[in-house]
Amino acid sequence: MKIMSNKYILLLIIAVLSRLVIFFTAYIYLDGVNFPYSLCQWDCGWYLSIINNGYDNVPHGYPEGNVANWPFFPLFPILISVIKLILPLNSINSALLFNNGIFLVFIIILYQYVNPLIGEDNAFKGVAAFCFFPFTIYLSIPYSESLYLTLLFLALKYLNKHKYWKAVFCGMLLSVTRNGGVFFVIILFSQYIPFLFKEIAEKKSIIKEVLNFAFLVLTFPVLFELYCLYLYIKTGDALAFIHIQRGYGRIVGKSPIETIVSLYQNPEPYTLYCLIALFVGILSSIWIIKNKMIGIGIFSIVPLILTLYTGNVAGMSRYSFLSLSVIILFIFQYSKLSLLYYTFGLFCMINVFIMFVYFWINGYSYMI
Amino acid sequence: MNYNLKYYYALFLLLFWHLYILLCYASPSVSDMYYQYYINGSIQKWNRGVGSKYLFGDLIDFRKGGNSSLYVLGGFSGQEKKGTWTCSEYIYIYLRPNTETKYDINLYMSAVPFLNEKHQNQYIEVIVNEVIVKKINYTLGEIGQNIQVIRVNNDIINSNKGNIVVKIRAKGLVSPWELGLSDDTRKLGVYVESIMLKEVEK
Repeated sequence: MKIMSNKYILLLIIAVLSRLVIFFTAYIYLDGVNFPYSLCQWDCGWYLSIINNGYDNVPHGYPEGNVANWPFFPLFPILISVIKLILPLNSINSALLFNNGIFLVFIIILYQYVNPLIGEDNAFKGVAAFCFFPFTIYLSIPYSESLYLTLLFLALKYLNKHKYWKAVFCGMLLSVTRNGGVFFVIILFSQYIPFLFKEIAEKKSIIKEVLNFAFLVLTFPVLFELYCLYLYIKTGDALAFIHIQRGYGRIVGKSPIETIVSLYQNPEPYTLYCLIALFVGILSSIWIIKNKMIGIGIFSIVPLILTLYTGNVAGMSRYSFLSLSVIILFIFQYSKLSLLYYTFGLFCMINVFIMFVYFWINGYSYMI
Repeated sequence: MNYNLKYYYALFLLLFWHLYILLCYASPSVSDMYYQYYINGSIQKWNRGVGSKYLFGDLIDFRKGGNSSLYVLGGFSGQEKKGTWTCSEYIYIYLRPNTETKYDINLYMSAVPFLNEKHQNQYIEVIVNEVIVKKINYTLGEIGQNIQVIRVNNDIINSNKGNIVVKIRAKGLVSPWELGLSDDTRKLGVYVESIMLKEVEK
């Protein structure tokens, strides 16, 4: 128990150090000017608009006036608004405090999740290295990724312990954090159905178990649907968060193959970078499925494929490299490295991490 | 027994809730322009949800360099020397007059249908603010059909919160390629040269 506690403390220290890398790097590159406000780039502005002014009544943003903040789900802005009420901080500082605080919680939950799967030492090594995974920058800036991944791994942890109602509660919160959260139902199905059959076989009370399952599945989307109802009342369109994507250049209905071919036909550095990210996401999902985590694999791959259906791959690197399957693959494989490769990899990652911070604060488009 | 009943009631409530949300998904209560742009995808420009400012009597010119792109939100091909082809079943023109009119409107449309020996008829409907104001059946060889003057009641003109939406619905479109005439695969309706709305005293 004492050793466990020590590992938790060590992990927390490593996690804090990794976040300090972000803030120190940003501060040094910015020369203190506009710090920490330059950490708010791209979609951060949309979240701030929700925190400060609520959801838009009509599309208005961009020169064409055809975008609105509806695709940005409400849980993250609500929590930041609550922090703003409690503490004398502005929106950006509240969001930074929240995300970096919850990152520490996430690291502990991640460790607790992978610990039974790969063993204590490997879990520690893998999670410690993950703190410096360059894409974790998105867990420290005012985006909803930090909250999303924390809830996701918490839900997975509960699922593994067969605490389904707690898992569903986390899933409900997930579904109002990011639009991909609603696909958690895939993992729920994949884990609950074998459990259901086992329970039925043991207890032979089919009706009660099936009813319980029906309750879980029917309760899961309620919060998501509440957001849809809110949009319906506000805008007249319950699916406004999908439909508004057209304003962002995402037109639903393209075939994924057609999208990939067109990206190869009109190659640009950014789109090729996104394609590589996509393939990493797909391959890691296949690896996850091969390792009998079918629900997790499908859950990771579905948002990537759906993005391809819109013909626009902007943000693919973030979706892919912070997908469940890539995180698990990273921790599983990185933890197996020898000390030499582990240290060398860590050195490289910290360098890329620093570069990412520089790219981010300067608003480079491939960091979207 | 009671416990089971509560279970079923709760299940029923949940099902009812989901059904209600499904109905909300299926029946958006939005403006025509929102529907056409965001949901249906049949118009290509959002234009901030309103038509471009228009003074009655101004000519909407569809010839190369003309001002039609200000008002056209979808369904047209690119401007050509003498006009612009409609190339989908529906075309959309959104106008926002400065003031409500107390007069009826004459809609002048100068357009040539895509007709030839292999495609001798073209049926179109001119729709203003969701009311069909004219049905035209163009026929090959018929004279005097290229300039249409369509009277529109001022109730129709003023019925759309200050916007005038002119739709032209063309049925049974074919492309020159389908008829074996050229490589052009656009399904052509009418070749519009100009449209004008002018107030007419009662």
